[in-house]
Amino acid sequence: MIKYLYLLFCVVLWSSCSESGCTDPSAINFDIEANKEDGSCEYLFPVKINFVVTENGRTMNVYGTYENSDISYRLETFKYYLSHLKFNNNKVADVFLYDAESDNNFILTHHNNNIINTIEFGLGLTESQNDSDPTTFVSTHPLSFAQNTYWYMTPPSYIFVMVEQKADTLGNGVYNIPISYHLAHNDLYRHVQKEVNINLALTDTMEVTIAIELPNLMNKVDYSENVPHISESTPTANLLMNNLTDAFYIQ
Amino acid sequence: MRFIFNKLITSTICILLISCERDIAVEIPIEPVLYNPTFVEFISPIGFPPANIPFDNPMTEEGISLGKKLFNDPILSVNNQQACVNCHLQEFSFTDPLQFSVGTSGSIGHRNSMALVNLAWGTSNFWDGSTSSLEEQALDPVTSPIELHSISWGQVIDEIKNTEVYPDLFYKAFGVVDFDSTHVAKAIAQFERSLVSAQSKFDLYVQRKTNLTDSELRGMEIYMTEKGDCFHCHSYPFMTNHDFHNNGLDSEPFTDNGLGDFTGEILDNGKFKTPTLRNIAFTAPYMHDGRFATLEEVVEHYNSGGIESSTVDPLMKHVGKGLGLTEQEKTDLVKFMLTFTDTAFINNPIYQP
Repeated sequence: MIKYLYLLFCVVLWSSCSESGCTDPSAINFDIEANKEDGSCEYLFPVKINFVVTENGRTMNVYGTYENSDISYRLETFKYYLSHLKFNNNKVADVFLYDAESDNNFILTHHNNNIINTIEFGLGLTESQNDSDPTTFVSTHPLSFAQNTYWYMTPPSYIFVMVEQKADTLGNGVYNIPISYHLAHNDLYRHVQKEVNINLALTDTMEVTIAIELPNLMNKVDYSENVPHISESTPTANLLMNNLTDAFYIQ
Repeated sequence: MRFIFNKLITSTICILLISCERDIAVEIPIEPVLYNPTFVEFISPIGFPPANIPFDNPMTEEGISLGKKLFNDPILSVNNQQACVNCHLQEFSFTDPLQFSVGTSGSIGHRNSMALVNLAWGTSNFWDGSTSSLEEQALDPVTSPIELHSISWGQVIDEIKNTEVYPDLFYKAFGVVDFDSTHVAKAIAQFERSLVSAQSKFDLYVQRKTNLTDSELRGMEIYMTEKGDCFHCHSYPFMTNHDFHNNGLDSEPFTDNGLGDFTGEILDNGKFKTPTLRNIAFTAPYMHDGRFATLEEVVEHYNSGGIESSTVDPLMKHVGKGLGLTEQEKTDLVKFMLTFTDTAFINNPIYQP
């Protein structure tokens, strides 16, 4: 009897000493006093997001050219807003302004899961973001007035996508026709979702590149149509936004 | 005789005492110059975003005051004959009425003097954008042969140091005794950032404090829509987008490559910084080379559509075709642009020497 009582005492003592928690030192919630792994470890995986514009998979810059339906276009300005970037349905970034004239990348941390299965984001701004007052942001913020992406029109709106280019319509190397699209207003917001399979590591920063195959922009677009720069939900504006949505891919 | 001698001794002692008293009076310590600047909080006007104030040159009352003094002082020129203010007069929104300004040595420049308005929000300076900060910009004209033409900054600084007033003012503004050209540039930059125009009729209209006339409202409709297409580059609240464009003034080869000369990029040739239209009533003549004497001529240029070239801006989408504005529409457009006039800025006494 005394023997059993002694054993019971030992078990109680042992169990009272064992503390459950995360026992992995590389986890952000590592518990130094835990001696029993309970599966609660959480990790932050560094990820570098790059944004590029491509032509047949090759990176394109400002003044680069591309072809669509035998017409050559020369890109002069290309900006677009990307909002609510999510990995596996978890938001990792709020808003980013791509500008073909700048370096376009940033580093973020992805929480927990080391595998990314889905990347999704908005092309353009959400309604609440589009309602922002651009004068309240510092000049480096994507929504700042300093970005030249806000116009006091009726109603006021950020320009979701700004494409300024010239076309060589005669095929003689002279880019003579200006073709500009400033696509704005909430109706033109688009959702983009891509299935991926990206393994992240704690020690190395994984690079994820969000690319646009630019020639697709002009698919079925009649360049000679006199589209206003500030397009509300005109058929051409919708077509351009849909084309861009489809042109996204993950490298 | 002894009496006379005693009297002489007493007088001598008295004279010595008096002279000693005078010496004591002279040796009263001079009030030391203190470095205790009064920082100025830069408050953006209604509708304006936060300004770009560099961390290494915060605005102070002492810095702005020193900058204003230097801006108006011909000591920066080779012959002490010309100051910044000679080509940047307040009554003309801090530009001058000449097509090309005349430098202190009689040289004539090849670009129109730019108005100095709302520079605290700017991102580049000069027609060709060759400097990014006001601190950089302020260094150039002093030694430029077509402007103040000083031999070297070293000589200018020596001259400033040899004045009675400036060493104390630099100490009060920056806490330095051995000041140099960077301190001069910082002070002028502080003064330039203080030049804020935000009280035009159009500002008041945006704030719903006044109304526009029918003609001005019609002009606004042309300006703010694709019809006139002015708003893309001359956007509210600065009436500039601070960017560079070729607005179809010339065919190739350009006599002045503008941005292209600075970047070396052929496709930047013919591009110039978009000037602000604030106080446009006072800043004639217009364009980088001052080719247009009146606003009517400017409007006629855009109404014609401009001249085709390899770098003409994609936003100039009526090249070769023109806008097709009627005489009444052109008049309305000019009337609207005149609502950018800010007489409070032109007459503000705090900018005067």
